Amino acid sequence: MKQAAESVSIRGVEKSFGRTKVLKGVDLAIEREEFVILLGPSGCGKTTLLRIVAGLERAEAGEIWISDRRVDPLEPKERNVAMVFQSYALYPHMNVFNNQSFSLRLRHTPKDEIRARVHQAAKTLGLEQLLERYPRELSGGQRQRVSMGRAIVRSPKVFLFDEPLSNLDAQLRVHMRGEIKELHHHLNTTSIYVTHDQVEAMTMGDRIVVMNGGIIEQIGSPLEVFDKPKNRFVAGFVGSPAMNFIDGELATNGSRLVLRVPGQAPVPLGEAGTRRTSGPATIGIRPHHLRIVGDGPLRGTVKDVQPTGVETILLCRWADSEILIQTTDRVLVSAGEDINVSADPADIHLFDSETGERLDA
Amino acid sequence: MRNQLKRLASAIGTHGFLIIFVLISLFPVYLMFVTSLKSQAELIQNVFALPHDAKWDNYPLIVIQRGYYRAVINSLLFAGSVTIITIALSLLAAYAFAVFDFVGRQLLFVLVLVGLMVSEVSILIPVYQLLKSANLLNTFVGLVLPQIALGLSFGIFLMTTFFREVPKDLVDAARLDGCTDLQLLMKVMIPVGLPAISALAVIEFLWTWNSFFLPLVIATKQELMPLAVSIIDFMGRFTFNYELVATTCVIMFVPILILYILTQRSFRRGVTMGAVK
Ligand SMILES: Nc1ncnc2c1ncn2[C@@H]1O[C@H](COP(=O)(O)OP(=O)(O)OP(=O)(O)O)[C@@H](O)[C@H]1O
Ligand SMILES: [Mg+2]
Repeated sequence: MKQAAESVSIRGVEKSFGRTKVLKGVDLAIEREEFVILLGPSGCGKTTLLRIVAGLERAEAGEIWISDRRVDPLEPKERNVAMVFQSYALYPHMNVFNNQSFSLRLRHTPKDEIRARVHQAAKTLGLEQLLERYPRELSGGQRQRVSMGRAIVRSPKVFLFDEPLSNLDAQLRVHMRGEIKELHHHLNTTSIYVTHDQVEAMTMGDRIVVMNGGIIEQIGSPLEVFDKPKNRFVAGFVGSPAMNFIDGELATNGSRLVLRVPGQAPVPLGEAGTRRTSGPATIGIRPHHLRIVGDGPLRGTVKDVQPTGVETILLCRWADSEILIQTTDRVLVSAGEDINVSADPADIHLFDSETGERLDA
Repeated sequence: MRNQLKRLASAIGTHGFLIIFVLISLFPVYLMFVTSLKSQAELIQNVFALPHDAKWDNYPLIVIQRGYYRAVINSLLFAGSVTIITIALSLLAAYAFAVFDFVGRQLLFVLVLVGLMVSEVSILIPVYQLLKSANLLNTFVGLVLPQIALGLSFGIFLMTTFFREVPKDLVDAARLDGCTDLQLLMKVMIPVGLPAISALAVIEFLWTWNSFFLPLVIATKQELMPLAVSIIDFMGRFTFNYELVATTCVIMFVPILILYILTQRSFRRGVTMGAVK
């Protein structure tokens, strides 16, 4: 069932539906055996991009290459790409065995080989007992597995996953996450995986591609994207709870850079090594980087305290700004109290207020 | 206690209503059946009651002596071939309307829907003229063609509606699995659409089986005449053989009953489809 994996190259792909431009020039090179995550808000074009790679949709401009073969003029079945749909899309009139063997039967694969391959896939996915069942007789998790099995038996060159776990409950999702990852290593295929689940994106992928409004905002390893978001959108989208943003004016205080926030003490930003030392800017601080300290520069009123056991989330407000603080300490503040918070300058991200581009290195 | 009484009362009410409804619906069937077992003399004295002396001879009299087995065969051939051809054509057209994107799809579909409003009687004379000039009067082809044309609008409409409900992902999955257009139709759409198809088959068969005006005008020769038309043989200008008409009606009724029993399960599913997911 193993097969040399292939690289995928998406070059300048554009797509419109009617007058709306859904993909505005997407370039993405995926290495062989890589597991790439497409992450982005609803409607940003993730599914559309996946469908273009699969051949279910035609792009107006751009090319799709699988290894050294240009595939965008080809029919879906000639691309040797398998897709796992969010809805599973199992054939309701076929039992599990026939669902999985359908593609092989269409290609007139010898019966013995079909049997062997389906049983192999069923073993990998723990479906051996279910081969005679019909989709309506399966649970959600089992259906999900069958739809993966259907993709595996074909030994495709490229696997496409479109939010395959979003219909499962939380526990099963964690379990299947592990299974898909294991499967990926086991089969050595190249995979593109669409999700808008933060945890899935962070834990499963070799690289994350953050999309927004039909363009790619950033490509990088999960930690790169998390630690060095290229712009304000990525910073705000990746990570949960989301990053806090505070607007202000850049200024220098000796050799140090600070952000002046109306009604607050200047927030120290470290050495003035950035591209700019004045003008409007936005800082981003992740909730878990904020600490409650008596002499912190930012002062606000606690509006809500949400203890979850492991950690506590505080909602803090001043003027018309609102920030979240996430801490594993057992904090002894209650709603209505005023607190001061600060963050290590190294943990503060700096963005241009207008373009949203990252300013610090 | 109070509650139980209430529930009992409502059960009696519902069932009572249903029983009355069934009795009213079955009464014509009963009347038709007992009439077919009476002689003309008995029928005059006793219209509604069971016959004193069941006269089963009416059946062989009609089917064999008077040669109506011919009409039964004609009807079966007529309804059978119309049903099969209509379904085949409806499936192909509906598949195209539901799955493919082509120029003029909307317009064509509207034209198909317009066909739903065409009544049989209103086109009787033009169809007659047309068949006459094509030398198709009193031929099987001439009998079948207009009937198919009349049924096609409904068939296409029903199947398109059903095929549109088939999830897009399912179609895409089949494409990725390697289906050609024809394979997609044969191996996925048709099996998935079976409830709708059997509903359509029953409706189409019934409708053709009972069809009267078109065959009356087109098939005037005995060799071609379907059962529904042959009933007029018993309606003379001065006489009206009720018991023989009833016998023919019972004969007409039997295949419908069989068909309904055979397809009952999927027919019921088809009729209520869309009501529940
Ligand atoms: N067949 C279509 N016809 C018209 N518009 C479409 C079609 N398919 C997608 N779109 C539009 O294209 C945009 C991108 O859709 P797409 O399904 O790729 O989003 P997505 O990133 O997968 O979102 P989600 O996370 O909600 O699945 C959306 O605005 C959607 O409305
Ligand atoms: Mg999507």
